[in-house]
Amino acid sequence: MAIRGAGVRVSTGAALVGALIVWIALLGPLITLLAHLTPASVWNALSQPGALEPLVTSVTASLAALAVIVLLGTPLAYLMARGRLPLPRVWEAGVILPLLTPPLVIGLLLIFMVGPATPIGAALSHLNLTASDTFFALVVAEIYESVPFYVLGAMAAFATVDPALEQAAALLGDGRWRCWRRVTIPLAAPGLANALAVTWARAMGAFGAVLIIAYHPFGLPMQIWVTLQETGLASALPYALVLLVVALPLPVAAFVWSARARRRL
Amino acid sequence: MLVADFEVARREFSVRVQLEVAPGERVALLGRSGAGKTTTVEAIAGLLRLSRGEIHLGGRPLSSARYPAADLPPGRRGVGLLRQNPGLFPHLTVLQNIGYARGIDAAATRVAAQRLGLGALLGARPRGLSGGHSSGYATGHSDGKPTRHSSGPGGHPPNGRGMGMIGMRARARSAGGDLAVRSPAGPMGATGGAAGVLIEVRVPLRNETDTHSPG
Repeated sequence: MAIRGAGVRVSTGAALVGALIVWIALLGPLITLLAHLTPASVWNALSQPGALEPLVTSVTASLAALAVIVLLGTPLAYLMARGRLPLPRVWEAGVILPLLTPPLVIGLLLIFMVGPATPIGAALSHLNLTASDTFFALVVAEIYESVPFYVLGAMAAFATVDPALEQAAALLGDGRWRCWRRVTIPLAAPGLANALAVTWARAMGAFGAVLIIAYHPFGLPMQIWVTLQETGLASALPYALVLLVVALPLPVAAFVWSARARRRL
Repeated sequence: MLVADFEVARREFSVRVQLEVAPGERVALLGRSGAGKTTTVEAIAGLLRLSRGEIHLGGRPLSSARYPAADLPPGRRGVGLLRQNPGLFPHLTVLQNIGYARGIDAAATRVAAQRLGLGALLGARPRGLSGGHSSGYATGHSDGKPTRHSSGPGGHPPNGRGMGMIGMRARARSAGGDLAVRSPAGPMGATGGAAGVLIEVRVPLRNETDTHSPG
């Protein structure tokens, strides 16, 4: 027994050391970034004329992408979670596909799908929209890169809501929308918040598809890339910090809030 | 009068029901697990669509396989369904759970809660209350007043199941409900291999021409 007890202790210790190494490795890039920046260098980079434009572009484009994703992705995620769609595997495959496709390939294919020379592109031009090197193109690219994170997360969130509770609400007089507002959404909210947070971070950091169809206007990831190409590593770092500072608080806040909300349920 | 003549097809089986329950009458359905008792009461409550036939209550059509789009939604049928799982909303307080139904007056909710000995727990959430008691509290007098039944010795704090039933009952009452369905009914749930549901049509039925709903 004593030997077995010692064995358990050793393996637990080894697992802890392994976990610590992984944790430090994951945090490594952030620590490195902070170690290489001084307040003066950040200030210097960001006080240049027009330096904050990529930030504004990234935030507004990500907000627009998020709005579209939530509006269209939430009902889809709900129907998928409740098994109300015929051929559920086919729908799931469609949602997962952008996740499995390399972002650069998504960008290339988007050019062939919605670029100015395509039928969809022609239709868009009637609405004065061009899906190439425009703010609109940036939003489209961000949607494609981040939508699976929201739909899959929201699906998992809705799956945790007991259908019997929705039936109880219906028996108590709620119509579908009222039931959604009073029961489904509040109960799924912690999971939805997490899904939203991850999606926001992905949209803010979208790069591969953006590089192909929305080189302009520069968002933060493009600004980092272009600065890196033109003036070198050191001058790109402040933008990397800005991207992190802007992209991360929302996910962190969402994780903290949803953990608390789950404890209350 | 409840008149039900319908068939519901589920994935694994289908249930064929012919049933008439007069006002003031209570009908118990007994059957083995899987016999279709729950399917029957869920169809009457409007949670399932019919594949064939119709359901009428007091002359008013509740469900019809021919015009499913015209089926009355569950909350407007005047049907109270008391299920084994009470369906308490974990994000709402006891008071909010009891008063959840549309058209329930807040003062009446408080009075009902006080009568049931829930007064001190109104601000609590159901999770903290539901453990430890077997079947606990239920309601279900044909006069529609929430009345406390306890399977154990008196003095237990109320558990979650009882409050859900109270909420359902309150809803059936506020809608001028005509029909109460219990699944499974307490005493019959204990009859060996067979379980039961109880269908009770209340007297008097509301005016048959009155289609007003508080919802």
